[in-house]
Amino acid sequence: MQPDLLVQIDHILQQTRLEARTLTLEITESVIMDNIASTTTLLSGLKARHVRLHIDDFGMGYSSLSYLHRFPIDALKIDRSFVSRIGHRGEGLAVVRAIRTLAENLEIGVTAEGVETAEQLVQLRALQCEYGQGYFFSKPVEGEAAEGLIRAAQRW
Amino acid sequence: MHARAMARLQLETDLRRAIERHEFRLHYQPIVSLATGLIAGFEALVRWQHPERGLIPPTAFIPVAEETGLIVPIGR
Repeated sequence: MQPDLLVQIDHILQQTRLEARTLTLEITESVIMDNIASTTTLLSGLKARHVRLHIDDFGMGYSSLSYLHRFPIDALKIDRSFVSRIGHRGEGLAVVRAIRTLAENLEIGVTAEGVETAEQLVQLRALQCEYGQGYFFSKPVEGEAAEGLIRAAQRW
Repeated sequence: MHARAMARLQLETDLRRAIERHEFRLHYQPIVSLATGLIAGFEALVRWQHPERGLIPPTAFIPVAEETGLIVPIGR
């Protein structure tokens, strides 16, 4: 982990005049578990600035859930491998439901990654997942195209 | 083993050159609120536009970039 990360983030926030609360940073479980002491300092520093924190690729890394209570996490990003198996005899669905329930009990949100089909979207809505991301909505696009997507205000 | 080591070394060399030549681009993927169906935000993703190999996905270079510490200049 970069020791001057907080300083850099402060600098970028000042430069861009971005409101910290509109910025979300993603961190993987393995990064947290590999550097518990330094991540604790970093995450509380970010929280003090009102930067939002999401756990990326949730479910793929460390099996201990104890850290979730100890860190100021706002949401879990459900790994795409679970979302992609939603249709397959419900095996992915069971995992997604379990993560959704866990998040609800921790009073944090969930974002489903790798949404590719209308069926997956229906199931994720039924589970009341807050957010979705994936090729079903849009692949990653360049800045100009992203602005176009905002202007188009499409409703999925 | 030898071939893998060579490929890795080549990737590291290419990464260093890519940083000098500014071959990294940011792409943005929408995050949709499932309650409203509207875009609620974007995730910024780094893409590497390699002069010979074309667009290289992050999975193909981020691990080596992290191991070599090159992730720091890429992030700047």
